[in-house]
Amino acid sequence: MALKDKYKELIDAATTAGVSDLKVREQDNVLYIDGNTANGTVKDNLWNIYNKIDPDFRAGDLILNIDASAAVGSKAKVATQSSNLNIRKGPGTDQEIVGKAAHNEIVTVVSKANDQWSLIRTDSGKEGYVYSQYLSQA
Amino acid sequence: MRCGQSHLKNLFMKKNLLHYYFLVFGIFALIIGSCKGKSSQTTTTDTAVTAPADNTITKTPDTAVIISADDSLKKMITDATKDFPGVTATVDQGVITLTGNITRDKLPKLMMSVNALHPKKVNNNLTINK
Repeated sequence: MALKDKYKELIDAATTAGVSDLKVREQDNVLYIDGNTANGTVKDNLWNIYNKIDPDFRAGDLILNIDASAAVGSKAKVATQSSNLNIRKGPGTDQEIVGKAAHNEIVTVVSKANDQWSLIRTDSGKEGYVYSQYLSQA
Repeated sequence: MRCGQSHLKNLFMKKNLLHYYFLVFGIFALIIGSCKGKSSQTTTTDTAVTAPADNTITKTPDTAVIISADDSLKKMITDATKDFPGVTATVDQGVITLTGNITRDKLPKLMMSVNALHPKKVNNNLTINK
């Protein structure tokens, strides 16, 4: 069965949810689905569908990359599981921690250093880099 | 008679001179014309060259799958797995292999992080607790 058929429900859901820049490509027996959404729930829903089709993500035949991180200039919510989010001097876990943002705190996204790290500013004026995965559009 | 002859000669010369003027003017006009033609042709060629280039730019992201280099993946995977203490990740030729232990509720978050790094493939060999 072609991978596009196997993951048809997922591709259809992404299309229906209005995921922008949606790209679906198959290469060397791996399906690559990339896209952007401003809605974190859409991303979670797509991952739930992925988990349903391929329980515990064992098959290794899909790379699902849906970017739901907050856009530059917008407000973002700290979406950690429960802990505080480290604010670092530079983009990397090897960089010094210069502050912390609380779980569910609203911060401003100043810029994006790369796919993983965003430069943010807290309401109290602290500025530094955080892991973008833990920011959701507020 | 002589006077008449010289008058005629003068007239003939003037006529010739006029011809020369027209000839020079004509050549000049031709040169300008051909130059204009060339410059407009260049403009058209430029536009023609730009158009396919634009098409290529818009087409490339649709077809090519971006796979991160191993060095970059190794650096990024450290950040991506930092909050998952029992998990070990190795990188080989774009393929990320996950081993160790994780709870089922944390697995999607880890997979989201790892999938966002542009790997070629992810092998999930984790032992899932709960």
